[in-house]
Amino acid sequence: MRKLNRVLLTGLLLALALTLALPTTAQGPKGGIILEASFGGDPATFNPLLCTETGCARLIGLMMPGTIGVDPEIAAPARVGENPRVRGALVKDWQISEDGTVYTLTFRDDYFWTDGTPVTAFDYKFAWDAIVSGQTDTNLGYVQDVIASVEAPDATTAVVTLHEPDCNALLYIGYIQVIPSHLFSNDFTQFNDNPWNFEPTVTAGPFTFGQMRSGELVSLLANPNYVDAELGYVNSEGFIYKNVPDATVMVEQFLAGEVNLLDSPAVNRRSDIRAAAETGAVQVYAYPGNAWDYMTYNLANPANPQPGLDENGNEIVQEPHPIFGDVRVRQALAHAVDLEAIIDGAVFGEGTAMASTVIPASWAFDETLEPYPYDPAKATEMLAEAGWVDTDNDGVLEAQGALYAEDGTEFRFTLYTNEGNTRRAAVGTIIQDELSQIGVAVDFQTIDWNTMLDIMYAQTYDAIILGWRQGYPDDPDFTQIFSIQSDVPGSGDNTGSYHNQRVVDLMREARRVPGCGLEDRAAIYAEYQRIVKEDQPYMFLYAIDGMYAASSKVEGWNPYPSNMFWNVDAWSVMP
Amino acid sequence: MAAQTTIKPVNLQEEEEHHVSESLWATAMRRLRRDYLTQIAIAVILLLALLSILAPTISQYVLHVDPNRTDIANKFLGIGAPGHILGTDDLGRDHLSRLLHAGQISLGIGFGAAILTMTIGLTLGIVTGYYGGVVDDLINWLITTLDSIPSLFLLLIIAAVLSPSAEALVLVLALIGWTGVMRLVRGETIALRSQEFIVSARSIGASDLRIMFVHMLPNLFSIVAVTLAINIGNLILVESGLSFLGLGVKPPTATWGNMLTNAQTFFTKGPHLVVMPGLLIVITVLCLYIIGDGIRDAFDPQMPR
Amino acid sequence: MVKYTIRRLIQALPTLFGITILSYLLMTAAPGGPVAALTFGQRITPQEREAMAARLGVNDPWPVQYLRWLLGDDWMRWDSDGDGVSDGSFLIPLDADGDGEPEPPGTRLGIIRGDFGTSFYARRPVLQVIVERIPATLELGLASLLVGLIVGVPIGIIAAVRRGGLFDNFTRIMAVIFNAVPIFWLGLILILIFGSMLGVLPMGSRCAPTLIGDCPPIYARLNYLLLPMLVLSTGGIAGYSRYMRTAMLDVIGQDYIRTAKAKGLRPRQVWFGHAARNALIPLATFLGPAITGLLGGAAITETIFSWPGLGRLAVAAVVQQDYPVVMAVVIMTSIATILGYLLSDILYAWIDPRIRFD
Repeated sequence: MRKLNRVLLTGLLLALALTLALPTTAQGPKGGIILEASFGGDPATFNPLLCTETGCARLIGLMMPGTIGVDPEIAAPARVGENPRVRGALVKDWQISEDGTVYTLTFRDDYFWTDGTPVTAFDYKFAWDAIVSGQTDTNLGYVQDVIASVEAPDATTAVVTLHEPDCNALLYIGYIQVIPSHLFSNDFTQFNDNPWNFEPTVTAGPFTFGQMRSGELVSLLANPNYVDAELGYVNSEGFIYKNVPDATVMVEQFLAGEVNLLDSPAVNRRSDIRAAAETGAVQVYAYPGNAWDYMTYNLANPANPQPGLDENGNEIVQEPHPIFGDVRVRQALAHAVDLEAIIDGAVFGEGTAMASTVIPASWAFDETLEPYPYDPAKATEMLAEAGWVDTDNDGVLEAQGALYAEDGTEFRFTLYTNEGNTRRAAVGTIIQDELSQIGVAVDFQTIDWNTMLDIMYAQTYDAIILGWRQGYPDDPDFTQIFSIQSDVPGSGDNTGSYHNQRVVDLMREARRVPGCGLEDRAAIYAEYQRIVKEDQPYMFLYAIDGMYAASSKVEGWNPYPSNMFWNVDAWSVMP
Repeated sequence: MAAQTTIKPVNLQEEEEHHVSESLWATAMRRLRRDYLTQIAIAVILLLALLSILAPTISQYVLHVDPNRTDIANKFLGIGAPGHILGTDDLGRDHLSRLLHAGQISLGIGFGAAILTMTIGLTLGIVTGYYGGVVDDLINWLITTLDSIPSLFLLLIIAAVLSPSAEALVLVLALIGWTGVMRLVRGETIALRSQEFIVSARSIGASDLRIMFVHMLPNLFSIVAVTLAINIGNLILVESGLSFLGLGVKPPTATWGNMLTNAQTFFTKGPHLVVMPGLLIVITVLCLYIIGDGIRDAFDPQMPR
Repeated sequence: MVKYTIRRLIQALPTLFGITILSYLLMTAAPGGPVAALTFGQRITPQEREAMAARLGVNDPWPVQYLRWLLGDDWMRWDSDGDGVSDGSFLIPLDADGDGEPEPPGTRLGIIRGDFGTSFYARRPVLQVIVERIPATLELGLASLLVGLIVGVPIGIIAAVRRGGLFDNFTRIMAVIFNAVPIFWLGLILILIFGSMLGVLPMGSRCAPTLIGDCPPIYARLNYLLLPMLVLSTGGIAGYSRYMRTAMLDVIGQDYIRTAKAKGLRPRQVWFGHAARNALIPLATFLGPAITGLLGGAAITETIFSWPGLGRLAVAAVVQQDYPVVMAVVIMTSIATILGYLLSDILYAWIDPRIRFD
């Protein structure tokens, strides 16, 4: 009945629209509400300097200007005005000093906050001051690793000085986003509690803040004064971010049209969404994804976690992990696991095998580098060479002349992943089963997220299945994860105690190539990828393919992998 | 303590000696023998329990499958596929043998926690009901405290804190659940305390222990059995609910609850993977309710004999 | 009666005290801690992590944290000369983050003085975070309770009148079957049938999403309420009907019913006039706990139906280790439960004059 009504209504409106459209050429907004479903709870903040999760990031992206524009087609920094795809960004030009350490940014002067105040370089400077004050809850403190200072000599100029030349400078400059500084006090102790953080009444993007209904939705309204709109106006009425906590219900709501937009729907339902796309009910955009899963090894003895460096900065020689300390063992295990089976089983075929830390979608990805082929016989052989054989025929290998394990030690380890992630649970199950077939006993457990973090940071684990998500544009830098300085039990990110100076040096080199040509940098990262593949600090698994989906009622929808929303101002939703 | 409003609908008939209660037993048995529905329910539960206990043996010698062997090329096989009677799951594992293994855990949690609940509740209930006084007051305060926290919250907090294994979950469920049983038993014991056969037993010098556990316990049988049956069912449901919230028994250990939770996310690929664990939960709980009802009716003195 | 109520309330105090200690102890015993949960995956230095822990006060021993939550911390670190920097401390150090400078004085008042603190995750006052969710929870809870009573009680009465008949058996079996289905499964099946397949009911949420304005009045969005209400009331329907049936059968065995029958009253009058009225009395004892059970017992239903209630908030808070929110939810539901039991007792005494409080 409802459907019938809708058909009649649509027909009626269509007829009406046709008669109205014929005489006039100038058109107003087509309207409609963009309705995206989301898992997470309420966003905790709308302040770009405080936002740490995907929910607030999405909404901020629609309400606030970016600093450096990004061309969505090539996912690379671009100047505003360079081409029509670069929208909603502030910097129209930048100049780099001779030595590569000073970036002079020119801000546009035609961009305004919704209260009429111009968006200026002072807003940018204010954001920087907030970050370095140390008095806010921002997690952007790391930009200081690259940026030494920011000055704003006038309203349209910002001068950013780096510690040293860095090819990622524009990325880091872009991480600092403007906030309406005229609403904030210079006393940064009040920063975290400013009411604007939660009710951003003043914004400067295609949308303005509507309302938040806790546990239900956040709504945004079309900004009538959005200056970068393709059509001269924002075409839809607004955007609603609707909270749907159950994954199954979320897909059903999308298929039934209760919501009209999904970002990365669950892999196990993508075939249903594709089927709906074939009937024309929905539109689908699939792309190589930027999220990837891996199994990290602890290369040091979990019974005696040590930091990488002592108090004076000298390297501490750590006891190796009895099993995984030997690189031959790690390489053998890579041969023992069938990545194709894992991709088919755990992500329903929606993934691409990886050989290193660089995702296949990245500009830095080395296409010539293949993952270790699945070859259990070879794995057994390699393990035998490394001193692991089943001496007592109980189906589990024992050490006999292994590098770090006493003779007779069984090849047995504990593998953790976080509970509630069915994808990683499936990966663990398959790894456990496949390794059992070459005589490796895996005690696979899914555990509470916080417990797992505890164990991981304490460096008392054997192996953990986890994932990373790369950004756009991709920064393949892994210094934070693989440097010896980060090997600090209890808090450092190098929880597996992977030390290879060459790897760190290459990453540094890749960021300091004169001219920063992507091909030059990619060549350095290619060597990095080869070494990391050989070293196997992780068992590399797969990157999960990305998917955007929209109802066919959403017009003007034209996503790029890096950004589904680059032209959101031109979207409309048919009734 | 004033009006503790435990309802005591059961009025044991005026019996002269406690041997009369034996005739109550005889009556109950006679009624049960005529109650085919309850008998069927008992048979189903026993069968499920037996199959679950024998799961490893059945998998190995009857089904010839390893429940942990993945086979991605043969995933989502339907019911009746060659070699897999109930098909295979999302990783190509044999569904039937996994259901049986999961039954071990699910039924184990239900029975284990219910029996533990019953033991704690029964002992404390009899003791406090029989003696009264300070012990009674103290335990009363404790159960009022526990009962004042909505048990789901307590369970959530504990489940999140301890990340329990199946064994720990049994303990946690029992520690939270015993208060209800205890209230019931305590009320019943207070009523029994003034019954003539107890008074006369005391007058001929029977020890307290003997009175409590030899004379009183048999009279508590029906109430205990009914509560036990219903509790087991509820606990199996609680486990599945916890699994749904991500706080139940963790995979790869399978329970009917987490198999159902997992399978419903891809129900379009393998509907049978959703239906089977769900059906097993429903059948088990249903049978346990029926058994509870049957025992209640059988021991109900008001029922026509 | 008043005296009894006051005494019960006083007796409840140690109970409440016990609940809060127990909950706090459990929360802080959890592995990881809120800082790890809040900062995972971010590029944060160990120093920043420490500073965050100091700011949240989660590095103190749990008794200190508990006292701060209960009584506040303005007496733990104070500022006697009014320069905004604390110069005296008790239980917590003057310089908590170890940067060589004393922190500002404590500003927390503790829940004793009505300060529930700030949510770690939402960065907003806990009270605000919780109060936002209460209307939806009450709406769903009360509707389900009502449906449970309206459907359950008549079923129980009719089943008792027609004991052993078709209706009796049918309703008993239906009640048991509905109760035996895991609630999330039942919810999902209903969504698939009425939402996906038939397209006649919305698949969750409290009302249609709108850009501005709150949900319309409840009568204008009953279609949204229907399914979650049905799922949540199955337990009530089964429970109340079963109870009413037993109670009715109990009552009709009583002398006064026999007298009524002997006086020649018509069966209908006997059943509904006398028996049902008396059977309803003990039902009052169910109401208190039932009301409070609805407050916290709906986490699963709320999740399946995207219902913006308290249960979902509480589950999220437990997982995120948001102590202030968890504690506030625990204490609120506990107070509600204690009041619920009290209400039951009073109601019972009020309806049934045979009960006297001493």
